[in-house]
Amino acid sequence: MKPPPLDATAVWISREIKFPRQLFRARFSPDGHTIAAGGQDRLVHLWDLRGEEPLHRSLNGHETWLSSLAFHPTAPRLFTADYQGVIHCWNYLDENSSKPIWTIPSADRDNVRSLVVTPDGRRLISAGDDAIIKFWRTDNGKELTRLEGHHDCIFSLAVSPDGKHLVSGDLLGTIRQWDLADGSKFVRVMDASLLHTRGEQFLADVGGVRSLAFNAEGTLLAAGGMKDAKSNAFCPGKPTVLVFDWLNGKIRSELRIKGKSDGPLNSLCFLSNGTLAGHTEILHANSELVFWKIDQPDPLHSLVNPSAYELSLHPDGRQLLAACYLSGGSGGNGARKRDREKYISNGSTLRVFSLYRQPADT
Amino acid sequence: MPHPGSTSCQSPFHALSRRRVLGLLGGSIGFGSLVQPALAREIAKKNKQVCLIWLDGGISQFESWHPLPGSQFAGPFRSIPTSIPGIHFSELLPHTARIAHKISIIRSMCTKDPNHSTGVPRIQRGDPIDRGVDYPYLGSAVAKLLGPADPELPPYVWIKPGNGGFIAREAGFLGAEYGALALGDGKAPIHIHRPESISAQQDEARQILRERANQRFKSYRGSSEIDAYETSYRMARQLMARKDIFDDTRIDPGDRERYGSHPLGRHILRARHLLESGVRFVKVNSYHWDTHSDNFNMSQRLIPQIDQPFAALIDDLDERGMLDDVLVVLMSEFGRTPIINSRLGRDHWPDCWSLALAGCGIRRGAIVGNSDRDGVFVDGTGYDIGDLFHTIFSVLGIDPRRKKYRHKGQKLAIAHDECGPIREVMT
Amino acid sequence: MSAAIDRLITAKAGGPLAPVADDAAFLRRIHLDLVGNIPTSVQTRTFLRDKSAGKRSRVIDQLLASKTFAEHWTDRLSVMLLERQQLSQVPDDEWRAYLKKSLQDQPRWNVLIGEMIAATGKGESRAAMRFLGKGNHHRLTEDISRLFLGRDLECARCHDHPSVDDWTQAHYWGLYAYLNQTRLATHSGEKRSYFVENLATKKVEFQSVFFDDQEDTGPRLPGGKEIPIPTFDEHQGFEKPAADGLPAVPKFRPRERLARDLASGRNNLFVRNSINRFWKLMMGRGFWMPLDQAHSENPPSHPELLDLLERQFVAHQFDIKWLLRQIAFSASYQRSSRLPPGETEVEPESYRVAHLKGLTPEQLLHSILRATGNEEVRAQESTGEEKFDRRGYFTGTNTGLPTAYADIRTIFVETFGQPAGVPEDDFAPGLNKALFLMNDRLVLHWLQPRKHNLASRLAQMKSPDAIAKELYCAVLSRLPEEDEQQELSTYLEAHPDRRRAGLSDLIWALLTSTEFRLNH
Repeated sequence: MKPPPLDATAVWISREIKFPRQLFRARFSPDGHTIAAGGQDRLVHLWDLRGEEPLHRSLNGHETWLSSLAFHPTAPRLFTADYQGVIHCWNYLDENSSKPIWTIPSADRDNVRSLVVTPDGRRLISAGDDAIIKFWRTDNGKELTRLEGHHDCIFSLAVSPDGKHLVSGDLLGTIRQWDLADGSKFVRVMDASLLHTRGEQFLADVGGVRSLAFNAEGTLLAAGGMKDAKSNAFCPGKPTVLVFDWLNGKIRSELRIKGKSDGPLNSLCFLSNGTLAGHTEILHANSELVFWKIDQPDPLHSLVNPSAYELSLHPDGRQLLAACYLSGGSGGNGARKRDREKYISNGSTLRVFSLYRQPADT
Repeated sequence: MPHPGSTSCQSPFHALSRRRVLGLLGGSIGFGSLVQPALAREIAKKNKQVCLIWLDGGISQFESWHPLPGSQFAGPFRSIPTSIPGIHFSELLPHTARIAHKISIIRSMCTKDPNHSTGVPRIQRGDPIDRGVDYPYLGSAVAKLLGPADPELPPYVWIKPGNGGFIAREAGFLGAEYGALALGDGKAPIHIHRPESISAQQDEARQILRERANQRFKSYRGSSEIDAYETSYRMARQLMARKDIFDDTRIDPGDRERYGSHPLGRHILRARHLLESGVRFVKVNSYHWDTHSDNFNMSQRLIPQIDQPFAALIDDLDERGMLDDVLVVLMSEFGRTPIINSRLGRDHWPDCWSLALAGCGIRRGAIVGNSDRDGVFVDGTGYDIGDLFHTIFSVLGIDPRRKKYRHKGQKLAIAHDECGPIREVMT
Repeated sequence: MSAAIDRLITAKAGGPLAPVADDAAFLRRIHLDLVGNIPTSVQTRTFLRDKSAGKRSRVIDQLLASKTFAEHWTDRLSVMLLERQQLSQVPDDEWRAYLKKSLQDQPRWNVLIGEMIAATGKGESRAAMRFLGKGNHHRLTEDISRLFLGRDLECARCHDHPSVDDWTQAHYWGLYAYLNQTRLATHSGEKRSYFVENLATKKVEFQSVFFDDQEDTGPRLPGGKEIPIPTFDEHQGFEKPAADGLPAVPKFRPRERLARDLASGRNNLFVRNSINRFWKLMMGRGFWMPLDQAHSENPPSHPELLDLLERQFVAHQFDIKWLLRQIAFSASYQRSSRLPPGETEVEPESYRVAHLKGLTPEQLLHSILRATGNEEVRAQESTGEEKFDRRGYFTGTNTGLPTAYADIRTIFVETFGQPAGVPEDDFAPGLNKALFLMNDRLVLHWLQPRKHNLASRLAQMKSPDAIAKELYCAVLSRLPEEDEQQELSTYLEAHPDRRRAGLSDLIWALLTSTEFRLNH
């Protein structure tokens, strides 16, 4: 029987994994059988999805919060990075393998905010606080080369579908394009400075290019973040996606949300049918998972969902994984009476959204 | 001879002579000091000064003074050893970690108010028992209790971003005279400069005319409005005569670099100058520390902005031999929550937070108080703002148990009656 | 009524009274209080020469009937009600036009306040909705209780007031319950906002932070009866359907009720508080102080007088001009601010001596312009080119002078007024204000001879006596004493080569004097 067609407007939660600590990153493995996630508790969490219930194990190696992770496209390798510049390579499929295969002790002065692997699986690319893009061999973690040019920390990386180009987005709203084939030559800048705000009395820059995503054909690049931030304290802004025309490097449309979320559009994913999915965040309230037909500024569809920090598309293209916030019950300003008895951390829920009409018998 | 303090003297001529009115443009101007002998003796005794640095919004203690690495709610940053053996700060405070042995940290502050709007005035007033009056902010209180360190300078100067002015409100029931002279962006008020069209002699001449007019008006009238108005001119003229304290050409370029060119760096450097010039109480404000969202990215950017100039200030005061007489207080209205919210921020947390003290009467290198393992609640008894105020007054040589304000026939405690000084942090 | 004021004040005076103020002091005071400006030099001289009986009464009535009365009291009431906040989209000039119109003829205070509280934004009195700002329920509860009932209930939101036994949490939430259905809605066609009310279906719940039990209340004024919230059958609660983006209009509209119940002669808290505020504006001190501390442990200084005024104010339908007139006619109002002979101190609540009042920023600016003869500045409009850089004017980067009166006015308000949201009730001198009057380029510019301003007129006079008379009449609204004339003469003789500068100095000295700065 033919599977139901892709229909973002009919999205529904088909699986949920709750976890008592906060996970900021979560991805499907290339074969879709594994979810890897990480965040506040410094462990790399793996869930094997093949059985009736997800089977969990964790890998210990990082000494601080996990900040990014990426799977090798073909080999059983998972790369994880943290806030203090360490990158570990793991064999995530071997149950007996609990130590990193190799480690880069100082891939960044501080936070490695983004990791991507080239489609040929040979190079791991990292970038973060020191504003330098670094290339590493995936087999042994040795440094290959580095790219300078950004003036402030890099939030996001993406490789074009044809594997020929890399784009990097930073705090100041600058996107740089690099030619991966030609010794990583700098090609051009694309201007996403709308996604950066520095008001007169601000103490810091707010915003940045928090997410980058190519469409399947490689003709469009979407950059996610927020514009018009009002302060560097509550950092409320307007979640915004800038869709660039890859050919001429100019913004062809600006997408917005309809709900009240005021945090950045921090994760973006194009579906195979050209629909763009994104997620944002908000303080102490429900946020939303958003879908756009990129020619319309307003969403095609939104689903109320807690704040989430990463979206990952299943290899079958029909499921989206989101690392979402889950309130533990303690919270707000100052301790309540019940907090004095038990003060509980916030946690996460890893939600799998199915992108088609829910079958009647589910 | 009428008492000099009387406000209803019937004779308008006792203060100024005809000769002064007439002969001014001929001779030299001697605008002498207004110090009375008794006051000069008091000053020699009480040469204490205060610098309060206020990070408005709530600096995160997890990302600064009390990192608790490896604990449940710790942030992602490293912690680094300080010059106090066994004590670590967040890696975001490298400069201050290096000079930690010169300062003290209280890690067990536990206060009541989780709100800014009520918490900030409450804390800056010492959270006294409510007696139906507006208590003065700390700067006004010290201005009243110790008087000006230099009688020619305003006793209480406030360096802040945005607009300046004169903030009488902070003086509460003490009266406008004890308000704060606010320097917008740390700059001298523009009107401190006499316009070029008016020479010093002409200014003196017209001031005397003004004062004579006031003498006449004041005779047969007694009122605080008249006194307050005349005082405002006296203070204005004193400030004009001492505008050297704002002279930027005296700033060493090396200092600018050590403190940083960002606003808080410049403002703390300005504070050091004012302290060197003899201002009794200098408050420096920085706003937007209330990182409910994106606390970690923001802390990375914000905390170095206090780290660099604060360490420079402590070093400079030490080097100039001023650290025994200047009290430095670095604080916010509360700390930030252990748990992390949906915007990757921390919310307000008055239940267990930290502040830094240094200088006059404060021990060097003391870490006072502790939290539970996860930094959620204070381990043992926490200290409230009233305790902090007792401590501040005590190290300044003011006995908070005996010294009282007098207001409309009432005697009012200067600090919360049921609190006491934090002995562990005092020498 | 004026006689009764004097009788009751004198009865409680407890000591010798200062005599009634001399003509010059009276004229200046009544001008400032009623029309917000000092008298002109000509008006002063004319009044002083006038020997007819009843001249003071005539001046009072003339000023009450004048156009400038409405303009000045628009300033005063706007500052009282809005505290210089920009809370709403209603433009400032529309709001002022509304107040000014209400203040002409026979301004009725209860009608004015009722209109503001009940405002929807419809019709001619649309501008009245500016008082409601954005419709923040807590802010309105606190402002209404503070400004109209004399009770600062902010602390009573979370618990019974900690130091005032009379004020309870129930009072706070009873008021809140009149206001909590109010919100702004946009008319889809006109694209303008209006205030609407939702359908009230239940009481407001509240809980003290100190106790566990939940309480509730419907709309209730302090000391009043609770209004039951009516129930309706489904869909029967509305009298007009939704239209044009505005919701359906409910039959029960609590805010409208509040306007009627609060701004009424039956609400003695309102009447007494209103009198207290106007009394303070004229007399310099309220029957109770501070103005927002009306409770049993802070009783009024003259309860019998207040009772009488309360009855009469209601009987005269809250006519503001009637009230001001009664006060102005009294000897108690017209008393001198000079101490009676032999006295050094006087209890402020005795009114044995007139209270000194500060000049508001607007009064100060108007008076400076009139005194220095530069009143044409008030008609100066913006040239329309670049916006005047006010921040630069205060930091020194802008070395130009403002020409538009709006900019000049803003400079004075920013320098001499309180920050937005802070009541501007008392005289608050400050170091920066002294520096401003001493060194500000604009002020000094007004002291230079120009057209027919004072400096220019004085420069053309020869006789020092004539100069002294004109100077003192123009600036201090009185004739100079002999020793003042002598001093001026001597001063000019001592500086023969800089006569113009010398004249500017003399004007400046009086302008910056306490006598000019205060309303005495």
